[in-house]
Amino acid sequence: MAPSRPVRYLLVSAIATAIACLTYAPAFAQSPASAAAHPVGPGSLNGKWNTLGYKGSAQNRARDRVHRTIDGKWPPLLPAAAELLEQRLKAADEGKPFPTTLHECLPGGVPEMIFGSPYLMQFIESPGQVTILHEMFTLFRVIYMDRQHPAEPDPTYMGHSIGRWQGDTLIVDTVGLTDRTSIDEAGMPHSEALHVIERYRRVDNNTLEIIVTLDDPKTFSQPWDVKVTYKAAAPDTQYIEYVCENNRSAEH
Amino acid sequence: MHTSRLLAAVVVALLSAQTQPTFAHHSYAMFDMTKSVTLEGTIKEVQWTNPHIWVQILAPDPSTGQEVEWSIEGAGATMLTRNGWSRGLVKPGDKAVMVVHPVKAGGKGNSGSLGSLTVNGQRIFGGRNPAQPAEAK
Repeated sequence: MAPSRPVRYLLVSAIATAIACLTYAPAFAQSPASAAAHPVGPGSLNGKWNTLGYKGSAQNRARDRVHRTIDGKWPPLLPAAAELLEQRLKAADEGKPFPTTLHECLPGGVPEMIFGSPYLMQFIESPGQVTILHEMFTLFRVIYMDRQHPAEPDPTYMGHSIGRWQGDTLIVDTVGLTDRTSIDEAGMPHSEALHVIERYRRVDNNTLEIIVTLDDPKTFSQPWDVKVTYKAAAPDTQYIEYVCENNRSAEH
Repeated sequence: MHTSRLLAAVVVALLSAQTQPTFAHHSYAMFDMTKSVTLEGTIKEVQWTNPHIWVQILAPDPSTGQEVEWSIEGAGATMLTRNGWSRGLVKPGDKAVMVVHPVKAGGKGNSGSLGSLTVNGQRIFGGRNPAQPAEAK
């Protein structure tokens, strides 16, 4: 028996409403989400970045350029390292700054290049590795995603880096760092036992947050963290060559 | 005139780049950033290099009045290029007025860190150090 006219009307309306809901529901659900959406996890670091909060040289005394813990405390230096840093800061106050590798036209290495440079940094994520192009010194760094550290890596400026994704965070583990470099431009020392763990997370479309853990039992009484923030550079920003060649600063 | 438009563009670029560190790298600890010396003379040479550019200027030593060659350090070529500078903005033979932060006592004399630079009557760079005189224009 055919449904009566009112029942048929109700059925047609219900079906029409259901179709309308099915059609539009995803759009309704998406619109608030898409406003907040930004790349997360693997692939999210791709792009060019500029550091914020670079402790720029002209305005800062060496002491103000010492990297602090995330909550603003002086780093947990062991006595010998603390004394060495103090000597370097005093020398800088007297116009004779300690010559870090940067003064010698050599790279700051890891972690200084993450902390210290006002120059462009680009991430390229590809199968098996993440590559960081540093404009400063026209230098690149490879983070291997498919292997472990060698047993006893010889010390280098960038060290040996391996990475893995944990949720929205790329965790990079670096060993094999030369003690020729300093932690920061103020000249904070470290030993070859330095072990650096970086946690990279894109927190929104324009912001990359990096938490850097510094673990060096010969320099620090305990591991400690530094937080660095980068902002997205315009995608069409061009690299400008940076070859360090005119090392006259070191003459003074 | 083309040059003045270019200079105006550079000034705009420098102003808009104020949130970026204009000075690029390394320590300025050897310079006394609280002191300013004004040098008025002739550009001898521009070394457009990293980590810093160096500008050689022939100008009287304020203490003796004798003309000497000064070596003045600026930001790095890479940073300056990004902020709209180019090597040709300062040329040998240009008449220049520089406000510089001199090297500290005990360092090598006749050198300094660039605070501001006026070439052929037009200011092309105003430094950002608080000890620096206010912008002329």
